[in-house]
Amino acid sequence: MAPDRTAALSELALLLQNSGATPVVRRGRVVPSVVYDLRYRVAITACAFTRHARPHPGMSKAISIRSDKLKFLQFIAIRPWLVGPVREWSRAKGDAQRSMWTSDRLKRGFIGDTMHDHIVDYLVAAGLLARMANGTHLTGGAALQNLTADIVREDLFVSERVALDELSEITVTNEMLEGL
Amino acid sequence: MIQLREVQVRVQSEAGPLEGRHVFRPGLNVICARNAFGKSLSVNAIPWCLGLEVLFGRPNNDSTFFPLAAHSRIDLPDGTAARVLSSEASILLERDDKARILLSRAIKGDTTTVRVEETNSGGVKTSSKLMARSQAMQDEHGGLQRFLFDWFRWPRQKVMTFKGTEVDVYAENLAPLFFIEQQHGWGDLQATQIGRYAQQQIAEVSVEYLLGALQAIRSRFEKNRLQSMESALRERARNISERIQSLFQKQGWAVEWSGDGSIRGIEAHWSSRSLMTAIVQDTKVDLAAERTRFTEQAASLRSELTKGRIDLSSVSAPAGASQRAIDLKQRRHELNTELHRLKGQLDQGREVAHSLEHRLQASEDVLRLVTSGVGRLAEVECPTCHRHLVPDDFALAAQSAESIEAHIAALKRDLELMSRNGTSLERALIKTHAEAERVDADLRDAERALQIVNEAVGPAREQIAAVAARLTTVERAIDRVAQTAADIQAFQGEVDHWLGEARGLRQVDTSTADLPKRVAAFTEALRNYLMAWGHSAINPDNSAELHLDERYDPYLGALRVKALGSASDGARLIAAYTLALAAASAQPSIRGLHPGFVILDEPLQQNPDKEHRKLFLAFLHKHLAQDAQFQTVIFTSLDESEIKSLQRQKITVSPLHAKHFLQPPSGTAGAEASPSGVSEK
Repeated sequence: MAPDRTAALSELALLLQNSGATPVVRRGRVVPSVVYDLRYRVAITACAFTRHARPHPGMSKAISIRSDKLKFLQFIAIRPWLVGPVREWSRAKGDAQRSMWTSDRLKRGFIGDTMHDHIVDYLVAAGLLARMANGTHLTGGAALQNLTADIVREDLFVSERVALDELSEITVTNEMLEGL
Repeated sequence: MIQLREVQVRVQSEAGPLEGRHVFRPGLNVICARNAFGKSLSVNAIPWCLGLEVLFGRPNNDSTFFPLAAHSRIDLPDGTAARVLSSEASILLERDDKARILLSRAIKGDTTTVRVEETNSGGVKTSSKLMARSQAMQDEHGGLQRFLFDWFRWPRQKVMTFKGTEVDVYAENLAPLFFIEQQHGWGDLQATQIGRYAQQQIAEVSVEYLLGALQAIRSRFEKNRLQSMESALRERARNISERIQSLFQKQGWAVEWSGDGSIRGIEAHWSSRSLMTAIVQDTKVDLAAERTRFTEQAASLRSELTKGRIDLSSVSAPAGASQRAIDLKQRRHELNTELHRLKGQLDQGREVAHSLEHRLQASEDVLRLVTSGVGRLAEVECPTCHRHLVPDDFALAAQSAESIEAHIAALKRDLELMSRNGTSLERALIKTHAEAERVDADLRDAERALQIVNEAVGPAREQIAAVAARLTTVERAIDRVAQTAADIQAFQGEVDHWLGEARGLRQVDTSTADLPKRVAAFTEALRNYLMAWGHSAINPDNSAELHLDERYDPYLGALRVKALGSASDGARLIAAYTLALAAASAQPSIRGLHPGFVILDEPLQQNPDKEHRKLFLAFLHKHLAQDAQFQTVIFTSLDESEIKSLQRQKITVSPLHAKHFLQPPSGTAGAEASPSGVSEK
């Protein structure tokens, strides 16, 4: 596990204090948001995978999902207030006039979510996800589904799960997944 | 205690008179007859004569819940049918002091009245005709319910309605606890309780009434009355506050004058300062000073208009009027821009607050996940080399609980800040909006003044027109200030009146000293009756766990008895509950207000399986059923062997062998249900 970065700041504060300064360290302002927490991201990725993955043709028990779709879904689930704009974006496809009004930041934002890529690498390395031979899909077994079941049972991450439910009723096109 | 002694039904048909009669004894009475004998006719006569047709969901004086034979057509033994010309039901009740009343009411005919023949304990007879339903409780001399409450020695008791009015406890509220009607009565405890009168907690009140816990009912009434008054007062406070806020908003004043919270909280808030003081303190607006200022301005303009010197060489009046209109337009534009900016900031602030709320919830969930270990992945290792996977190798990190807690605290502070920022923006928006409205009004005045000055001919007229227009504007401002001051004064009057009423509310006596021992007696009786009826969920080992909740709903430990056992246990629970209430009330230490008779109509038809019949008969064999200190009348259908079995136990069973309850008067022997051939106890 990475060392707690706030400890270094406390040390800095101590040094400043010894120099006669009166530093005030607001740890809440320097600690990272939980958006960057491994367990949070694994939990939301598991929920997104379990909710949206479908049985893969030719594979009896495994379920799979397009890797870029998983990236898109978990990005929105972590930011549930984006569900409305995504719905608008989806509706605007094929309507050039309306399409101009949808946010480019939203269109491209999720593509730059490198932390998700690291999470997927981590889950693949741990054998919880597997990259399929076609290179586009991820497949997974019972571990992520069990993790999701625990989360549901404990009533955790409700707004994220509601967002994932709402996303299931929105058509996500290939163009959207490419940020177009 | 009262006993039901007799039920009679008389029918005058095209084919001649017909009648039927049941006679009842003290204690347990089992009336047996096959289906279609006319049991329902005789059972329904009891509530009908007591003016209780509302138990059947019928309108007042509507007798159509009786079988057709009582009001339309009757099938005769020869296979023909005859039209019913008139019909009447009677019941005879006897009190423990031997006073009797015979209540007779037409089933077909004038159904609005009940004929009462009363014989007091000294043998003196009187008769009267009383209104069955209309004003039946309110009319002291002509109302049946009023008469029955007096004769039953039932004190009148008020309860609150959900509308905040006071009404009596009526006989139809009590009857579902001693009259279990065949069609609906077995569905639930007090299944035929009347809900449409909107009496608060009437099911609980009815139980307490029959147990004689009048102190508890009065306390409940006082509490409900106080709650109702407080609720009305809170509603009024909200209404007054909303109207005051609307006035403040119109003026662009951000003054705190909330009508939310408890009565005492609002009282403390509203009495801490007057409306006028609040306006001066929160907005620095002094209406009296404003009025003085405008009045002085008006006086000055009036003087200028009537006595002022006119400079015939000055041509600046049109330019001045024009400049004022331009300045106001400019101000209007600035305010519009400001409004747009404030709205934008408010919307953005709300979005940020929404996202912060989400982040806060997510962080709290992650903290729970970290501290409780919920949803934690088992040891994460490489499936091939079994090496432990270090998140750092993947540029990932798991935060400590302490770090997450610090983040949560920061988010809470941010949220609080956003909330204060939102309140501040809302106030600024109100103020700016009000100023924009004022500028609009001033602009209209300025444009009118400009038009008048432009239309004036010559410098003198131009100057006079300009001063007159300014005077009009100032006078309008004086009127506005005066009207606002008057509105505030009127609101202050309402506030003062409200405060007077709030201070008048006093805490009530909530003593329920007469309740615990009565409820304990009822619970103990219920325990015994449930076991005697063979309720499958209650046995000697667990019966100590049986208790009644605050709504007198029976529970076994934490589970509702209603939800326990088999489907047929539902009927057993209702029968046991009804009989236990009568038994508890009859105890010498309780001396409740139960009338002393219980009528169970067709308890077997609810579940005619063999086990249910067996348990029913087993109950009737028990001392608890036979030796009760109250009268039990059960209408049912038993076969010959079951009847004989009961008769061997010396139970009062009235087997009815005639084809129908109603018979020609000469043949009453077959119809009369006196316990002939039946052993009496």
